[in-house]
Amino acid sequence: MRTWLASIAAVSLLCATAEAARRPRYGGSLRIAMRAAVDNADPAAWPSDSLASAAKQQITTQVFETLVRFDAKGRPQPWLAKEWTHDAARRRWLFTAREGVRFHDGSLWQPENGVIVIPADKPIADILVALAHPRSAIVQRGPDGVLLGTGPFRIDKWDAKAVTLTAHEAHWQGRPFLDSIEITMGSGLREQTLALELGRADVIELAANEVRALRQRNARISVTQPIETIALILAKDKAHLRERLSLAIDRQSIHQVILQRQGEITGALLPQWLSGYAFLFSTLFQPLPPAPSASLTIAHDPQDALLRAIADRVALNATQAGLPMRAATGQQRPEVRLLRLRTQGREAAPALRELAAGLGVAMPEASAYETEKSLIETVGAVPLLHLPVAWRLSERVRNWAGTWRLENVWVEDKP
Amino acid sequence: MGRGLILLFTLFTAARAGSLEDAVRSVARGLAARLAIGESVQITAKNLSSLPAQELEKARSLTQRALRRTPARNKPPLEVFLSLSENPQGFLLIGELRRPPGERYVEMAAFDATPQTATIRAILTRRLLWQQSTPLLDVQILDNRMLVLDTQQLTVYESRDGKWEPAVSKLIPSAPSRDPQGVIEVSNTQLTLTINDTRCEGTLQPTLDITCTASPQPQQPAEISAKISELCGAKNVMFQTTAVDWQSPDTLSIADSSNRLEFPSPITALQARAGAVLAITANHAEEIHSAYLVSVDCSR
Repeated sequence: MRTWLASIAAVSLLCATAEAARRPRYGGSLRIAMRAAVDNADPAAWPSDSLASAAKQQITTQVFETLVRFDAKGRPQPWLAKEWTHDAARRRWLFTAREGVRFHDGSLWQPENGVIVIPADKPIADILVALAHPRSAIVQRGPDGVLLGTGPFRIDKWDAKAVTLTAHEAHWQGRPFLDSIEITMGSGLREQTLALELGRADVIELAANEVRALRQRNARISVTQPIETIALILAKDKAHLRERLSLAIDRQSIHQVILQRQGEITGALLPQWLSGYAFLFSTLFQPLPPAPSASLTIAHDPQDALLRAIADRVALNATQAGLPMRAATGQQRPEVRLLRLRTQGREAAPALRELAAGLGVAMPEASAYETEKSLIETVGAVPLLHLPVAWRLSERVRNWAGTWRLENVWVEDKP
Repeated sequence: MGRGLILLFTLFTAARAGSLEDAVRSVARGLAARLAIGESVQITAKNLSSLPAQELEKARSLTQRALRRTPARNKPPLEVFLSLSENPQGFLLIGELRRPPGERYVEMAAFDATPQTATIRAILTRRLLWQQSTPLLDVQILDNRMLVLDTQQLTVYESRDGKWEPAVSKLIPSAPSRDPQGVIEVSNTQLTLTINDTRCEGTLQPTLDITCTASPQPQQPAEISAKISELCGAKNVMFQTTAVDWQSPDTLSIADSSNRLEFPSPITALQARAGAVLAITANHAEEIHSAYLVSVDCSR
């Protein structure tokens, strides 16, 4: 019996080795599920909701490309532009176009004289940040309204619930490994888990508090740096309670119990790895003596179970500190909103501008630290936690790098 | 586009940050402006960055010196919290002055901890050439063919409709090695392969025909590096790596300069190519072995 079991183990090992020995394979489809719903691909129409904005960025960067990209260290790198220089008078920035770049209809991208001219009305750092944003992607608008990009995938289908992208055979860096990407939008986390477990999805979103347990089960998980901020936003007429509310919340206990120690406790909007100064914002838990206060209501995305758990704990802490808080009901306008805010990019100042725009305010030019202090006061924000974004992958996904660089991803289908 | 145009990248980077000493001067100046006559400071320092502890001690002692004041009698010193931190753009020195009961001032300055003596101003970019699960040793691209040497065989791929398709392969009888190394050398139609203790010679065209013999393994250099005889106007430019183990990500850099490129997995081999470097990386955990061509844009 023991020999027989040993043989089975050896065969399993051999099978695993044989699978691992395969080379990257062209072909196949990658199936992704996400909560956000993005209604169009147009880089000129950007959603203000941070979840939708992040999703749109993830999808459209497969289709459209920018002149410049930022690398993992936040340094600008040439992309569709090979290089950039300014003229002798420093009045114009000149971006030299890369040769051999084709749109999805096969036509060549040929800017006039091979150069894109940008007026030097801003510091180059700001110009590069603006050009690297997907809003600034190179798009060809056809007479029938069709948008053509130069990216590794082209749009095959885009409706309210699903997007299908197919390989751009003539991409300047070579055809991507995948034949297609199928994205299901507006799918709840439970629905996504079911889809993965039934073999209908390859990449699904994962709540931060599920990461630890799934790791223990050896599930395939990809986790980013903390890029999501969980924060309370007070209504304008309650903004004076911001500091009192911040001191009332036991972030440590939320982090340990609800989030199973995933992510980081914070008093800042931007995470420490991104700004370098997040530790300056207080996370002190020191409830002030109760003082007479009207009752507050708190609201969050009703589909989001993690936010619901955090909101319950926040309401308990606030009530114990003399700020009675209960869940908002029906059409009632809440005094406190619990939100997930997604930070974009790898540089503090533009990331803050994006956050401010998403929260409906414009911030004056100042240092990133001063801007962030001011933004927190202006919008009545009480940042609580920074969370990574986690993805669960099916066994067939290869080369998932943690970022949405899907041109290098390939899938392995069992024979 | 020519003479009147000026390199931009260096200007952009240089404008962002100076040295640690510059940062201390800037932070100390800001904090000193907040001190009243007779106020002195007591500094508490912490390191939230990847810099070594010596840098923190250097920052602390320089700041202490810059903020030295004669304290008024019976006046306790004010607390200054000095932190070394970092973000994707570089390092930060942050000084926080606290004056009871609730006043708080923050000063911060970015600095660059990499050597300021870069002689080569260049941008490194990488392009993934090939990836497979068998450890790679060398990759050469010759027009529409790609030669991939791994620990088991040489495979010739041909470009068809933008994809690399295997055309022919030849097994190489080489003894197993925990640190395999190999090189492809092509001269006209002559082909020479060296893998650990095996040397193969033959032709690539009209057909792949090689004969392998056992050969003493040449002494391997201790460091993974590659030298390009001329680059961006400089002679004998060395490329080097930093990974210390097979679990580490890696950095490829030009020696004595701040030019560097991050790799998710350790680089196991570097080969000089015309104006470029071939970098082989190995992700042993996931059995992904990759070949990248690192090109250098001198931006002049």
